[in-house]
Amino acid sequence: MSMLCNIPRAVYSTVSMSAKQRFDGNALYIFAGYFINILKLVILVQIWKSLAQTNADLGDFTISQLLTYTLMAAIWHPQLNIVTPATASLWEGSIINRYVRPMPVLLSLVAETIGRQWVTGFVFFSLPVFLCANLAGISIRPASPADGCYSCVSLLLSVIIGFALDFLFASVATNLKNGCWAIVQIRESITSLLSGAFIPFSLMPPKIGRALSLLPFGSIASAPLSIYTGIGDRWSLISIQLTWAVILSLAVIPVLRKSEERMISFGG
Amino acid sequence: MDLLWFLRDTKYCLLQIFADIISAISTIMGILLLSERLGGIGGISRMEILFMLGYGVAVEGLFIVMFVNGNIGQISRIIGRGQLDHNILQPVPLWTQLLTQGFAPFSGNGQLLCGIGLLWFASRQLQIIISFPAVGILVISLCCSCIIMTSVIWLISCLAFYAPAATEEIAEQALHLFSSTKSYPLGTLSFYWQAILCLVIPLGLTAWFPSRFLLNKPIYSLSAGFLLLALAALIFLLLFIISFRRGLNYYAKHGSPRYTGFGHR
Repeated sequence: MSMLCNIPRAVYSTVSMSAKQRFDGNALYIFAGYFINILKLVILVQIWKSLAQTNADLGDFTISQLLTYTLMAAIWHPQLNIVTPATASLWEGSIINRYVRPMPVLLSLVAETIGRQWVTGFVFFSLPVFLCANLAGISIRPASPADGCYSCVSLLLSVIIGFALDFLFASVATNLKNGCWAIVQIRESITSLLSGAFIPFSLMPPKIGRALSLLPFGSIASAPLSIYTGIGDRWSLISIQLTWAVILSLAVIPVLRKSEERMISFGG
Repeated sequence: MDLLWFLRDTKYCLLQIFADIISAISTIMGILLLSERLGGIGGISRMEILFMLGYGVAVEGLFIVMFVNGNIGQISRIIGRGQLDHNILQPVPLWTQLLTQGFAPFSGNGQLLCGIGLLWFASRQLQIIISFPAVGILVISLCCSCIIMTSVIWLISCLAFYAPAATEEIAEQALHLFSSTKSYPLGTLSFYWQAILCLVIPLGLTAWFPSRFLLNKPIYSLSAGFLLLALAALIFLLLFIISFRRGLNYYAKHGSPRYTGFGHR
């Protein structure tokens, strides 16, 4: 009982410590990552603008919606591309430390992710980009206040799906042992392509776009961004997300429990 | 070489090769699907886009084959972890080690083979005559682009001489910069942006610019474009050599305040 009462404080402490430790000896690496994201955003915005000037078919998007879609994909990048320390700590051996902490392992990993990536990412990347968007002539407003609210709900579901997928991939990495980094590489590759954050599904061949939107990866980025920009039916998008969130969340616990039996950790 | 890894741990070696191929395909699929819908981007047809993407994948594949072993490609790790002494103590010149120690023809061939396959397929679709001189120019162009990419990554890695802890992993970000952005077709951008992305941050020199002159697209002819690419490779290589020598001098005077054997083979 006392452990349950201490969990909120433990989560807060974990988030706080992770956020403060983020730049420990690592500042240039972190800001280099932010620079790359800004560069990708700038290049993509220029490409979209030049395509619009040549009257290219932008699918369901107007140029304003497309720019907003791309901007919000960059701002919400930490939430749409969830990478917990699970696999890295498995490789390093520090995963054992999570098992001796007075909080559930998964909750500890979630809290660390929020502290390391969300808090610092918001302060040093998302917020500055959000504030500078108007200077670049990109609208930051949702299509409507209702779309803005529903996109927050969709984002929450995206986060749940993202964490569930990361833990499932971590389970696969646990079984593969030396091959864990290959799994991380595959995961990052297919997520970046299949999530719709980089190229919206409406700008892909129709059949491919429709098929990808039904996959769990498509529910991570494409759904909240589409709702925010007023593209697509918000109820069908949210219902697909809800289905995947339930299925994956139910699958995570038994898969993780089974993988834990095969976990080998050395070091720390 | 990595033949030992391939023979002793075949399963994981093949898994890594598979991961490299998936990574290569995923970096190009976005632009490819976009060009498929739009029928081309920036005055480049779909197959020309495929040629450009194949060129970019082949360049990165060549980098992986030549430099992925032993953290040579991400040399900031070696410098930042204080492991450069391991190389300096060897009775082999440092430049020889940099050029040979990273060779991984067995485990690192995934992307290179993928890129060559894409180039071949696109060439057949574009009905390009595959002659010996054409292949020769293509190979030399690939080498020049690889030199540019490697020189920039190593140039940025030289920061590790001065701030070993903070920039130990900076090479990974430099590699990620090229991996994630080299497939963008820059033809739709203004000349200002094209100049920045070719001369300052030479992303365009690793896929877009070479594919333009190889496909005889305006504004540079084959010979002019080829010479410009070779000149750019030389310039970036010289910049790296100068920075690395200065970094080595600094290292000789100040050493490294940290050492970790982590990741040393």
